[in-house]
Amino acid sequence: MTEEGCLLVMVVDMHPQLAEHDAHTYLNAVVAFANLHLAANVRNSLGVLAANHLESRFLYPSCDGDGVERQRDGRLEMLGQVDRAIERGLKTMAVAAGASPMHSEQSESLLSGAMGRGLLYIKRRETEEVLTKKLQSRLLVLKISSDTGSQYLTYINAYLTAQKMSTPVDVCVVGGECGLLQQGADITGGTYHCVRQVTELLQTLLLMYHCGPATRRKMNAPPPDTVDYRAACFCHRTLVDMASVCSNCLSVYCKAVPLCTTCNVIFQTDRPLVRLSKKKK
Amino acid sequence: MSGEREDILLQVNNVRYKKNNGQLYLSQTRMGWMMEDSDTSTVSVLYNDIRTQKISPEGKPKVQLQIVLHDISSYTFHFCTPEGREKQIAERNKVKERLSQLMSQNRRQPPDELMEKKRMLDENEQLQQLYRALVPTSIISVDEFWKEIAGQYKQSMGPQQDVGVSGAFLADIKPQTDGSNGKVQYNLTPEIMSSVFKTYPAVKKKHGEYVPHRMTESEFWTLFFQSHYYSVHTTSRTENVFSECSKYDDREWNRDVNSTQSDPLNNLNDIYEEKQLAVEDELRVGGAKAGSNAIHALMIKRFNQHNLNIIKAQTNLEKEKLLDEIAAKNPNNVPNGEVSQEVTQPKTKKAKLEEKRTIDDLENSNKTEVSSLTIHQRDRYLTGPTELTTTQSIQPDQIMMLNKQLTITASTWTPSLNNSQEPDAAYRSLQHFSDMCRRGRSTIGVRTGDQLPGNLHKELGQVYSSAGELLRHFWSCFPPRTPQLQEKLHKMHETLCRYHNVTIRPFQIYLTEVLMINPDNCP
Repeated sequence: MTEEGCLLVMVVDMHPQLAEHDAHTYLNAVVAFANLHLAANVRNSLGVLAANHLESRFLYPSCDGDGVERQRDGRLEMLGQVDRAIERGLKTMAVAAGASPMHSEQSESLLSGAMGRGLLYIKRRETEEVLTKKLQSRLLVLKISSDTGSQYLTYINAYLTAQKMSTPVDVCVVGGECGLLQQGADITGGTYHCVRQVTELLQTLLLMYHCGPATRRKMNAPPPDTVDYRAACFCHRTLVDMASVCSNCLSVYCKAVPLCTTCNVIFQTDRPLVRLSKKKK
Repeated sequence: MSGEREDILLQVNNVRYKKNNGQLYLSQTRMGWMMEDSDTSTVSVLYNDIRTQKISPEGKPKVQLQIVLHDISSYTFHFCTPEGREKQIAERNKVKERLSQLMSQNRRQPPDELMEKKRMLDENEQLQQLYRALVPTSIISVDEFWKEIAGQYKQSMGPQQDVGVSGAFLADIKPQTDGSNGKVQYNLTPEIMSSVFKTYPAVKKKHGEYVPHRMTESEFWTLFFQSHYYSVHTTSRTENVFSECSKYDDREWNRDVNSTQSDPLNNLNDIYEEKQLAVEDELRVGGAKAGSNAIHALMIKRFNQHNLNIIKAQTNLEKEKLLDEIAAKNPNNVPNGEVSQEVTQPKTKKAKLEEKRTIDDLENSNKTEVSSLTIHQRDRYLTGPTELTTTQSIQPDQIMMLNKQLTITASTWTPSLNNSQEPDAAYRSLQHFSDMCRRGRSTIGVRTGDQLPGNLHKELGQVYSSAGELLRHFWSCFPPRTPQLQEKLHKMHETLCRYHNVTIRPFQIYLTEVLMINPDNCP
């Protein structure tokens, strides 16, 4: 194990779709993994965020200063503190979600926002680092819901930011595959896995996500699948290899269209391409 | 004496220098005189050193040419061909013309190329460093350097300054007095003429008017030197050509004084007051009042005028010089389309102060027009080029239901780490991963390579290299522009297919079935 600690920021998805799976196992796995991370190396540090379809919230470190309580079950006090903070935060969140108005437009999980906040937290910790050693950090995203819908731009922004910060984004999806998150893991140099059952979640996390990226390279891990980066055209939503792109708003069309319907810009497609004669040097 | 530029351009025999007969010759860069019957030249002068040349006046018995150098020393050459005085004069004139040509040539050439380059290198530290780094080590040739790199620096160099007029140039025109009939002769060169024009713009104007239609150049200049204008001491009033010049000068002077006086920013209140006598260490220093001594006033006025003319001459740009010429030709008319050089309306003091206060560079630059992107279908733009997932998005009421469920579940949850992982599920996931690893492991070529029996290695290598050679021929046919290339392309395609059938497939079968190597390995 490396001597340097690692800052792990977990982004936990609390979408109502979680009710279709076994929520208790899921939440237990999250807490267990958090404990494991802190227990593995005394220099490790942790941050936990949760996101559902209404909000994203910082669970640990908690915003209100928590006094260290006495040891309860023979573990390190900090671990107990982590447990309590996560539990409190999640319950508050669930209650708030339950009390929300009847119909909300947003039906997807606000994971991208939570990822952004996680990256910000990493950045803040980096600047606070007294010994000016580079803080190793990574982001772990646990996702339940399958729909990414209208958050494409935000996700891409988050990935590129993480790439710039050299922070690998590991993704573990429960239920169905998610192409967008797979792209994110590929861009930033993280790992992507899809877990079929929530009951297998903790073991997967232990196996694949516990060690840092450096150690993972030495492990004989299964090779990642090739990621499908093809874009989907805006008119049919089918993946295409070659497409025409509007130069104004960058919308993708499978055929050259005279009018871009997203930004109402007119293109002249009937003019033949003018070839500039090469200048003789 | 060696050198490519030593072609003798003109040679004159029977030229005497210091009583010795010899030959005078002119080459590209210098002139020299060689004594007769000797090989070495006694006198050799570079054109750059020659300041001026003079010839003896017409009436004199001796036909001479004198060369004055920059360091005041001079050489006098006496033309004395036995063919007669006419020939001597002709020869001397020929030499004089040629010499003046060569002198001007030689003076201009270095400044253009070498001097310019030297100046650029001196002025620009960076350029000099670049030059030193690139040229001696022959990374780029000298010509390339000057063409490409120096071209960028040329624009940043300021304009070359014109050589100014020497203050005493008028005094330098030493007249040659002809002893016999009291005539005074002035030697005029074009340089002297242009200096006069620069110093006295009124004379320039007059010159434009009178020459060449009313009088010749020499007449004009004679009158000039005779005039009261030029030397204060002569009192001849015969020709009034130049009397108008002084009137013109006065007009100009008054105009300038007015513009200075009317400038609200100049505080001229105490010029005409009597200054208090300043006390300095018990010495009483008397203050002078402007305009008090009339005798000196004229001198001072001329002095000031002269200074103002010098300043104006130096600050004139080419365009303004042109404008001046146009204005000089019709002094009373305003040239078409140009603003007349009248006194601008005296601006109020406030306006002038305002003008002085604002500096353009410090003002806020106008914001450039930014065209904004107008999106008419926001959700499309935000969704991006993602595939439409076949999983139907959840209906809002379903979400509500699930939400309620989750709320209940979450509120009843307490973290219990003992129940976080069932052993069976853990075992299943471990199996799954090991399977994936096993499958993944076999694609690592190195392991398989180690496991191959020795002979197979060589055979595999042969198959691979021959396939590579065929593929190389195949790809070299692209793009198939000529019919032969198309032919070859088809043939190669067939060859590849045949090769695949004949060699590769049996090899593959041999590997998989005979030797039991994993089929996922081979392509």
